[in-house]
Amino acid sequence: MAQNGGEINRKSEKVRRANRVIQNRTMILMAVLGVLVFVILLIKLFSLQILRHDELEAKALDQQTRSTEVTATRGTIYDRNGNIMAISATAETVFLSPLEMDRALNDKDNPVTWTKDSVAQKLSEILEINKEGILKKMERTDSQYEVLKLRVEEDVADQIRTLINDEGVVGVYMVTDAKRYYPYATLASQIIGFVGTDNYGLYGLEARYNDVLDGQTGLVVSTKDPTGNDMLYGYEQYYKAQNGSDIVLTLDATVQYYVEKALSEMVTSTEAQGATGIVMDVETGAVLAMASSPTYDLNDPSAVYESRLAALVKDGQLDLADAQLRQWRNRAINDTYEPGSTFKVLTLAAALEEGVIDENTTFDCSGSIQVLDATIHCSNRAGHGHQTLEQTAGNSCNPAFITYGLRLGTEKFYRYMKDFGLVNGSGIDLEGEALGIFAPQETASELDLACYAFGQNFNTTPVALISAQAACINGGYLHTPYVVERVVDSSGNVLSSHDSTPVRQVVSEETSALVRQCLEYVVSSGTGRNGQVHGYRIGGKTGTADKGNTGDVVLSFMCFAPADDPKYIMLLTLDSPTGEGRGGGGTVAPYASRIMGEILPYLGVEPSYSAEELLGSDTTVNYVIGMTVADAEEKLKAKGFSVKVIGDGDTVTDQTPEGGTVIPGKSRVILYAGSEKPDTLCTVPSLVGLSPSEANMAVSSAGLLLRFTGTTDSGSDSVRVINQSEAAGAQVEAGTVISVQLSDSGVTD
Amino acid sequence: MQQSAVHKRLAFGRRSTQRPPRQASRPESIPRAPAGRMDLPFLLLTILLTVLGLVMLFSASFPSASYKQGDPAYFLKRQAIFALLGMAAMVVMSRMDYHRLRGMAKILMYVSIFLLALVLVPGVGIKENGATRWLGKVGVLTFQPSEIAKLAIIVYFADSISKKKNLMESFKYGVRPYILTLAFFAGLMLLEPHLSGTILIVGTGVVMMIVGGIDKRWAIGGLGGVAVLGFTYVKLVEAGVISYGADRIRMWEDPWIDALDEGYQMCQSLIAIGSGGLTGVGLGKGRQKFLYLPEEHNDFIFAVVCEELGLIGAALVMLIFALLILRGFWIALQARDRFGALLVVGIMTQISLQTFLNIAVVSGLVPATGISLPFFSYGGTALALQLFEMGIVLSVSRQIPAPRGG
Repeated sequence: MAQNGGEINRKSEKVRRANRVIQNRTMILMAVLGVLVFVILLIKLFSLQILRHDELEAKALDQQTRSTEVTATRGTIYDRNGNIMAISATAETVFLSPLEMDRALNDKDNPVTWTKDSVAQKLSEILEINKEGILKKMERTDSQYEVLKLRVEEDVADQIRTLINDEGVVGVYMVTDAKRYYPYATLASQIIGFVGTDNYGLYGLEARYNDVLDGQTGLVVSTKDPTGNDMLYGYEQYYKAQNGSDIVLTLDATVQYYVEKALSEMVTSTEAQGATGIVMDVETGAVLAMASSPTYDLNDPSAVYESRLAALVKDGQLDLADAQLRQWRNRAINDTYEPGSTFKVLTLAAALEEGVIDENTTFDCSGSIQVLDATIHCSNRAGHGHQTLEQTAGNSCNPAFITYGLRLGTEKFYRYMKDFGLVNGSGIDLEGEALGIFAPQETASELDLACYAFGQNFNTTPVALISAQAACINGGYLHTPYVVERVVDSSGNVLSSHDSTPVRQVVSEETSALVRQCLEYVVSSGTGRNGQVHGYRIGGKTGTADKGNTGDVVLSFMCFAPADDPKYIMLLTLDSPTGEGRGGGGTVAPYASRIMGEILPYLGVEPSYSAEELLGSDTTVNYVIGMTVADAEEKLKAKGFSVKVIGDGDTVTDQTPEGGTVIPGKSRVILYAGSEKPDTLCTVPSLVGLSPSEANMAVSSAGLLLRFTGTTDSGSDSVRVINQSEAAGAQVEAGTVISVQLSDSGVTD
Repeated sequence: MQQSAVHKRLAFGRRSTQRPPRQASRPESIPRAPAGRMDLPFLLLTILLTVLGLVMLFSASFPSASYKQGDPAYFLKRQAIFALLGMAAMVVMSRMDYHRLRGMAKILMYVSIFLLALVLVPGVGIKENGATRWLGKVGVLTFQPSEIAKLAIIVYFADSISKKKNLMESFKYGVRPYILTLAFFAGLMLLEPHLSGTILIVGTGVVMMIVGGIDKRWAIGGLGGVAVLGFTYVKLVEAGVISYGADRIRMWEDPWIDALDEGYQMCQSLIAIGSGGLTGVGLGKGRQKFLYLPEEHNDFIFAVVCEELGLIGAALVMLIFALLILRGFWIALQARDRFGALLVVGIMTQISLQTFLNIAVVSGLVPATGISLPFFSYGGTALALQLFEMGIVLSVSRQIPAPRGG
């Protein structure tokens, strides 16, 4: 190298140094740009993709997916015969997605022909809601779900669909939602209850069984681009909606209907504040009917249904909210009352069971009884005189029952109150059962006990009382009353069903039989005579109770049938009737009789007639058209009908009444043999207030047939017709059966 | 002895005597043909990145392509054509002697100055998003003069610096002319305005000056000055003294405060990256590209890579970039002369700066600015030019002197 000379050496030294600098600096650059920056980037990506993965993924899912709820169908409520009491049907809910609407409006690539204002205008016209409200919701542009209207009908939904499609409106959507329908409207309204706007049960069984009826809402999660369209390669996840379970009730719509109809008439005619009625299976505690008046329409629960109540609201005498609460109340379980004389059934049973009285006990009533410092009068101030045990019940003699109660003593009396379920309630599977209100046992005086013995000064609910009464007559077994027979899931599997094992036996079979005997006497010969039902042995007890010191009374009547082998028990109460006081036996028992007369044959309880009754008992007219006149006559006469033939043919061409009609047994059947059946109509005479014989005369002369219901003790002079099945003046076909109900207006408790 | 080994490889002026006989037989009018084979690893990495880029471009662009163009492969087809053209340019360039570029340095400079000025003439440049950066005809062929300017600066600086040797240490010859040149270009480009392009050109130029041998003090002082300036700028913006770029800084610090408007793009990018997780949602299965993530096939394509391929896939892509860059700089170290070395340093610096800044922007590491990802982002002329530049590197690699001895 040295030989190359200084010139070259100096130059190559400079070059060498320059090259060395490039070399060194390139290597540093290599380390920085080839390694260091990528390490930095990797750390940054690690922090985003691993450390913040969950947070950012949640944000991604939040914006990329739209979940649509699939409403689960709420379970159906059936009565015991499968009649639908409450059912859910689908309806559309209209909602806005202001976010998407805003994006569509701001998307300059795809201009739209509509504005927020124009859409709001059209929506407000279709949905009949305030336009300003819609515009306000449209301004919540960070929201994707603003409900415009819940559950619109199908024709409205169609109009919305047309609007969306024709104008290409983005951000207006509908989801299918369920709406609750109550086919029977007012029937058993307080038992069924209703749901709120969110389909959440608010009252009655809808509330109590909300978790059972309510299904599991399903969800469809699908990926969407910002304009709301499905992604080309998106995914969709479907969470199946789990429909709610159905519940089958013990209620019988038909029985419920008869009870409600009678209650309504009873309340209207007496201008009472309200009434309750319960029909129960004595052997299981199954409630066949439970009614409260005033009632309401389940399909429109906030409207005041009963006209009298509505009038009060209109006059400003009653707040709307108070009126609503009053009609929503299930008085049979929510409200307590002083039961009065119907309670004597329990005193009787307890006293018999404890042996402080027996079937041979007699009692002399002087018209009042002295307890401590107080004199308690009997309803008959003159006194009932000498009475047998049955008669003390039949007369509803207060001094007698006070005596029975005092013989029991406080301790035993309270024990029976507890055993009968009066203190702690019946335990019925409905919301809000009130407990009994008694003085504490330690402080209860003899006077308290005396009053308790005839059903005053303490409070209980109708449902607790009827359960206890059922125990007194069914052999002594206390059952928990219930309305839900079973729960069935949407696939038909029974999830649970009621176990009607009795809670306890409170009194013995023998005691129970004696109680039944006394109570049958009450209806056959005592204060409960108006509760008689043609063809049935009825037991019962009347009640007229003071409502504290208000001067108002609660009238009631408990009855059961058949009296010797009870199947069904019913308790009616009437709160604060106006007009002349005729007591439970005079006012309530006739309605009880009517209901029993309607429901017992329906429920398959066979009537049993005495020989005397049989002659006049209802008989079905044979279908005889086409038979020879002779054969027809023979057939009909064998049933006890008298026969009149019009025309001179050999064959029966027509008949009045028609075959299959049920008419009183001794009525006349007209056969037409070749002759035309006249189509002239007969006018129904006015019968109310007439005696049975007067009514019979009036009906016969009108060319009609008569049937009596209610009390048939024609021995009493005070028996009068209280209502008739066909209104006076109505035009009906000849031979139509007019039913009239008789009532003994002389009865007092 | 180590010094001499380095010296041997960068021994300028001696190659003429060592030219292989094959080339010596060629006529003088034909450029000096490269002696050896081109660098195979670098070529393979380039092809790998190009193919990977096309795959990801298709994955990222098919939703918007089908929404807006009605053809899912719209962007892929156009990019693929330019990829082929670029490959051809790369092959041609790799077979050419890169010294021929010396002669073109000045011409390239004039052309790019002309074009940068032309784009500013009202009615000539194509305006997009408030900036006039494009020339050509929309829908047929458009390109950014700044892309050509980048190449011009690299070639010009390499030519000029390589001639100055030790003079680079002086301010007068080593710093002033280059700074002035860069300032001139920066001025033209900021008029468009084109901040990201300016950053890339100035960054590449400065790196070339430093590598080229300017005084250490200038290098450290310059870099330190830029750092202090940047830091002061951010602080002044935060303090509210400076309002220019304030939104950009604010959105960089926390894009979520305005996730629906100003910070929308950044948030969507972070969501895409973050939701990818370790393994990603799967190639082609990304969801953010469905109109959520803007510029998903341009500047933000790497977010789609992260979403679909996860951290593992993203790291692999970055590894390939890193290998390409490392191999590039290795070629620079082996280059037979300073010109070749500086040429490759310039090209690789530009590629790596662009890659780093792109990923840094997408992941929120630095404030947002529109820098595309080499080989991945949609842009035909840019891709073709990048491939042409790879051709230059390959051309340099062909003249690496064979290790002597043995």
